[in-house]
Amino acid sequence: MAKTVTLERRRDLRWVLLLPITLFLAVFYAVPLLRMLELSLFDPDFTLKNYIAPLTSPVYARILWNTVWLGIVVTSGCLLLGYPVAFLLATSAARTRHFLMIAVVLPYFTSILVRSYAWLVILGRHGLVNEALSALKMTSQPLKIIYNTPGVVISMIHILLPVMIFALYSVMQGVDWRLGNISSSLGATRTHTFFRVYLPLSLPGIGAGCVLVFIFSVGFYVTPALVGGLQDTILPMLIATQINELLNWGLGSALAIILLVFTLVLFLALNRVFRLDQIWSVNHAAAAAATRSPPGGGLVFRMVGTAFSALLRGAEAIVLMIGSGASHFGRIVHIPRRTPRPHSLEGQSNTAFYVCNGLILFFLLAPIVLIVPVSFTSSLYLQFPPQGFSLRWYQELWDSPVWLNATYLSVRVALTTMTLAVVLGTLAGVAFSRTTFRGIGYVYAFILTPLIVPVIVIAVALYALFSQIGLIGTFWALVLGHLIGACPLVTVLVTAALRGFDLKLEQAALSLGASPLRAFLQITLPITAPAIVVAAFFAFMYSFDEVVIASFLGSINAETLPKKMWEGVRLEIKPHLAAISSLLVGFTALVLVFIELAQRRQRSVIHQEGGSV
Amino acid sequence: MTAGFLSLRNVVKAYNGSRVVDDVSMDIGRSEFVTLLGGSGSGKTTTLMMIAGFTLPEAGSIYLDGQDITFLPPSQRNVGVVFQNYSLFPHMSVFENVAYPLRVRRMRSIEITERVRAALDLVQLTGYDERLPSQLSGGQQQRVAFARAVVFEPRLLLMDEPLGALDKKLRDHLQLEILRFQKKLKVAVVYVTHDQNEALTMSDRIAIVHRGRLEQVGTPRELYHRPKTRFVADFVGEASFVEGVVCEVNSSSATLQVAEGFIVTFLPSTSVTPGNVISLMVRPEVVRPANDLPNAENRVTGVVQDIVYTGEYTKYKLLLPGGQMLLMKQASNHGTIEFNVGDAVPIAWSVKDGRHV
Repeated sequence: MAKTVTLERRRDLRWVLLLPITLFLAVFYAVPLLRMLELSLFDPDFTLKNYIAPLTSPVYARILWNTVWLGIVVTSGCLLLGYPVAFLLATSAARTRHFLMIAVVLPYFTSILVRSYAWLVILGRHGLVNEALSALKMTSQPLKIIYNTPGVVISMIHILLPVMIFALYSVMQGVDWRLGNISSSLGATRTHTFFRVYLPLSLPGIGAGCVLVFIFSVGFYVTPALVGGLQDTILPMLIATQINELLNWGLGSALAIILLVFTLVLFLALNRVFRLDQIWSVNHAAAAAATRSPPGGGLVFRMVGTAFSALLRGAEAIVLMIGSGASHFGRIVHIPRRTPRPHSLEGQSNTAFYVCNGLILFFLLAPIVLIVPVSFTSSLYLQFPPQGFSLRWYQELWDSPVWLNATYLSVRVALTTMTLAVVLGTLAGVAFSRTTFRGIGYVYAFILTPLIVPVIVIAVALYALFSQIGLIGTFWALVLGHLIGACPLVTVLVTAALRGFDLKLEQAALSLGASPLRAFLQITLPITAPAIVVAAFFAFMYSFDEVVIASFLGSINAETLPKKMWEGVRLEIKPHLAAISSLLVGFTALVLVFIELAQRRQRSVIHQEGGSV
Repeated sequence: MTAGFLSLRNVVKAYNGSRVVDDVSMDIGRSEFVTLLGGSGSGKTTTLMMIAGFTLPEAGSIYLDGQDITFLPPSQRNVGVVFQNYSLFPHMSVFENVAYPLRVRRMRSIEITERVRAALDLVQLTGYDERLPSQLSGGQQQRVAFARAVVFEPRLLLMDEPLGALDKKLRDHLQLEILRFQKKLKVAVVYVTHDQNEALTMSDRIAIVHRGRLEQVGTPRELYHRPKTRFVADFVGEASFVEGVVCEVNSSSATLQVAEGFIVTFLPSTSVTPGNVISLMVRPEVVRPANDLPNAENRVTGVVQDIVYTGEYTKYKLLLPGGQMLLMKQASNHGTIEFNVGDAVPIAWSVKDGRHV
């Protein structure tokens, strides 16, 4: 009898838990990407014309250059503004940090559409800036600062700044800031201490943040399309035009492939410089497995493997950092604050430093807050200051079946996506944290790739597949599309939470007579539940805000809220968008508060772990 | 087939080819308290985990009460485990923690309440039912963990450095408490620790684990006074070693030449023949100033090199003729003579106190 038990125990079947998520991503993510590659290469016979045209024509070269240039400018801007904030976060007391974190997290979770719209309101012809300038008699006619490059740059910096701050902070929080005190005790001036101690120590964070922001900005579609002018066309917009307006599938697919390859190559190159794979080591085991070359694999294979796992680890680190930032969940997703802060930093308070930070945080928060008063205007147009006070725009939304239906659809899609992603991601998390087999690192890497593949590429690939099987414009098309991006978010967070979970607790339950399944359900799951809630929140928000996939896969009959807003912003900028934006901001803030409260309760329970050691 | 209540037979566990537990065999009696004592990485915890069923051996068998449990899942072994960090379920109250093994066994709720109350009474935590683990002190958490591990009347209780996270005073107190509980419940205990004092205080027998092997198994007194190997002598208590060449051997005594004109008499073990180079273990507390032991055979003068004062005693490191060192420990009694660094002190120890290891 004992022998049969042996076999049962030795044959670890938990890899089966990876099947659902892997199969899903293989069918609805890998296959469409391959289909897209095929579309770009066959017409109907094999041809390279779709690649030769864009890679040789000066028009396309101009667009490619635009894309890179925008990336460089946005990245520099984010670094400049993000560094002081991250520094402040890393060196301030827990309570202050908590408060500051909210100021960074709220904008991050606010819909990109809302934030882009806010900048239209601020920078528009009759926007805040122009009205202020003319009231001060500084300009005779409105400045043109929207639908052009400055507008795009400003709003993209605003949107990507939180990512930069999280990346910088993820490195800075591990720095022992007391080294600064030691430096000054050795007689160094403050400037000297900064350049010789703080800056070198935070350099990995700078590299990491720049790479991520750059990668995200070259794949950005929504904001440049809304806020930019014709001369600001970048690669993602060109792809959308080819597919949506010109129905040029071959060229559109080829451009999407070019964007994908461009992003990956860029990352490999940047990784050579910044050695990101050494900065982030969140999931040692999986990452190590991913970089381990199979027998006979050459140097090239190993290099690509390293860079690739670095790329994913970077994305993973960001998800975890935001997860813990969004919720101060250090204990649950296991990003403990590793070092004490310097004692005398308050003593060296520097007015300029704090004023700078105040302005940057104002820049982050103001556009979001500004939307609210605008939404109560009684005027037909967006104006500053808002004319009169009325609830007419809210009334209009409430009375409009179109908006209500869009909201209803969005909520349904987001809830379904969230549920499926939590199920798939949690199953995968259990497998990743509790079992191992040859090649598990590759599976992990594969599941994470949607985090860094530009969303427009996924949208185009799915569009091609779904239009063939007649799924366009259906509820399930939207859910499946969103699930691709939601799965890695949940997988990363749940895997980390389960890896951080004290296995001794599970063993204790086993020794007390509980079956493995019972131990998991009664002990492990309740204790890691907060992390799963955060993961669910990520998945929900991702789907609820997502506009690119929604507009490709949606139709007149299946319009999500973001798609409706997207069209609203493009066609007629009326104050009802401000009303809906205000509601969305309020909703995000409410959810964040709810999570915060739920966790506070949980923290008091979990506190034992830290308290007793 | 099996000699003890719990029997390990040639148990082997290897990680990446290196044997962490190497051919371990031992027997434990029905209500015996046995300690696995060893340094970190010695394999003592791995052995315990195999008895608990969290790790499976590569070779060998484990029997409990005549049943082969080598590959039985932990949940079916009916063996209680207390972990170093207590591993209380943080989301359950004290009552629910202790009730957990009973609920798993589907007992009636009246019986559960009775049993949990009795267990909490035993560990003197009556009235703490509704507290969460995070609201308890380390010592209290330890008691809850103990209550939870015994409430379902396990056949065997395993404890993995259960007092490791506590301060010394509390540890000393809880050692005696655990012993009291164990005697009352008459349950067999396998206890793992790296603290020799804890092992000496609590155990009926101690197994010294070194590099995955059992160096020696015996009662605390056997290990302290009759260590079989130098490792055991060094690990249990303090010891100095005096090395020399065996001169004469006869049935009742033997002599060892340590240096020119410095000959030590000792009780020979079977394996000694003249010409052998061997070490004698001498415990620091058997070495006395020569005046205190007028009849002791081994007499020599040592020069004080170092003095460590700990309150209850003073320890002198003495340089012997020929360059070897010897420790002498003097209790801080009233009237004890104090020596200074550089003093030449005539010392002595009796024949029976030098042990060949």
